[in-house]
Amino acid sequence: MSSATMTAEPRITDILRGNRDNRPAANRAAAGHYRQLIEGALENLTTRASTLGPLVIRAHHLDPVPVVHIGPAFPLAQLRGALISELLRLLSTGQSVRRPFEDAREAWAFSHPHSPLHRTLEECDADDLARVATDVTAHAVTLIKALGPVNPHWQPRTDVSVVQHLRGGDIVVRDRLDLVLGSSREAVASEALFDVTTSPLSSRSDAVLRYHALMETLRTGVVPLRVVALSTATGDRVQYEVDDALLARAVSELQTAIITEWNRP
Amino acid sequence: MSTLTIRRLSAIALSELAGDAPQESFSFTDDHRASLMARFRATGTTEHRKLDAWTVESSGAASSAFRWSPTNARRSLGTPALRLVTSGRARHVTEAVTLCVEDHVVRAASGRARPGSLSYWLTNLSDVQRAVVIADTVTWATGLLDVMEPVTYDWTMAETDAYYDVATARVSLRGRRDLCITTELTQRVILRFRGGSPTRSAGMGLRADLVMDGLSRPDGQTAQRFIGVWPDAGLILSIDGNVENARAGARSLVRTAMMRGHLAQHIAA
Repeated sequence: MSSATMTAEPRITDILRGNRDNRPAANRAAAGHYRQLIEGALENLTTRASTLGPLVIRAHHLDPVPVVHIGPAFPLAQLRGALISELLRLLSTGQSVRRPFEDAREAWAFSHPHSPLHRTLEECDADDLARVATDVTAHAVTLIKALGPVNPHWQPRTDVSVVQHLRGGDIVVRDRLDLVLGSSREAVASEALFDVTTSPLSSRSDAVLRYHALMETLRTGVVPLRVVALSTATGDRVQYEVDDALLARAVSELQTAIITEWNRP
Repeated sequence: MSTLTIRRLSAIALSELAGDAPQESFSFTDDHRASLMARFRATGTTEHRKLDAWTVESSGAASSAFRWSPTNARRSLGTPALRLVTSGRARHVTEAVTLCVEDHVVRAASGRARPGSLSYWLTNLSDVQRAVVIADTVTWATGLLDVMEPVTYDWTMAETDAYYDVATARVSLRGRRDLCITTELTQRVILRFRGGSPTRSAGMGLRADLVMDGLSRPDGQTAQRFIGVWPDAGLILSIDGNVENARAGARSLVRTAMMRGHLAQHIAA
């Protein structure tokens, strides 16, 4: 698993595309193997009450110790993350963003009219709102500077939903990819996944990147080329080439998350 | 047999499903249409019922009033956009979708759009909101293209959905279809792209779409195969256009009309 952590300079789109001459052949054989590995570990799970419905696993379940979110800042942090993701969608279509907070807020309200976070926004007083606005703007400036132009020939897809059913539908594993470039149908690995976070990068963001790579592998049946994350809090970014070691680790982390949640009282 | 085939999504799987589709398919005759009309009439309500695969899958549950949103606009915009891309009239999906949106806006500006239409809705959006619609549509259309481009047979985007009004029964049917694959041996294999993952009643929905597609044609011929594609889940479900599937699809539509009728009576009471 090769990785490199950088602090500035190369644009995200340049990292995502990389050098076209150095791409490995598309791996179309691995997805079935990883699916078998995951399913194999779930065979011995005890029976769960059917009234509970399917167990739903998302990226945040990868935390070995679930973070307890206390205090008024948490919903605002969630909101900030949602707004920055929305800005990424606008930027990926070539939309110029002049008023980051207002544009992101408008786009988010339009595409998520029923989000519980609307209440958070409504409950903000003028000071809170000004604080969120300046916070979002600072993160947006980092994103805009780091991202670089998204060429429409790279087939950008934003907010891509992935859902996989395991153990005959008892377990539903879900994911959302902020930005996907390239195609899974080429002879060489060409799909690059990008995740934007408003938190500093940590071991958890690495696990989330591995999770994204595994989920996209299971969805398309083709191993993606690379995964990249940007922290708009610090401007740091991290990239991984997707290989067997990375996917094997992602499988292990997913198995652990599923078993932990399955046995949670 | 009314067998439902489930496969992992890949171009190879799609090509195989298209290539080995049966050469014969069921055709609705005038007698079939008359029989179906009688069954719909026997559901005993004067309420006008609009049925589609979704109402069948949800057992006739009442749906809220339709409102345009980025999610439901993406198919209406993505289909003509993909026609532009596949015919070489647009260089990439983003350009094609933008052209389609602009076309709608021009249509509305020149007074050729009725209130409630997609054109009317798009015209009243801000630039930011329109960019969200474009982003959503580009994602949908690119995903579809990504699946279809390596398929080894010719395919074309559907011109329209399948519409069929059951005479004197106050029932309107709408079968959704996204594209049609043509092979040397078979005439028509229809594909439908759907979001999320298939539910337990997805097969019923596919059979209903198969029936509505057949009924909408003057010759009544169903597609040789009807394929549902769930790119989010990486799954394909397919059914053949045989008599068993046509019968099962027609039954589920009549049953849904009946449930809708009961629901309307319950609300009225």
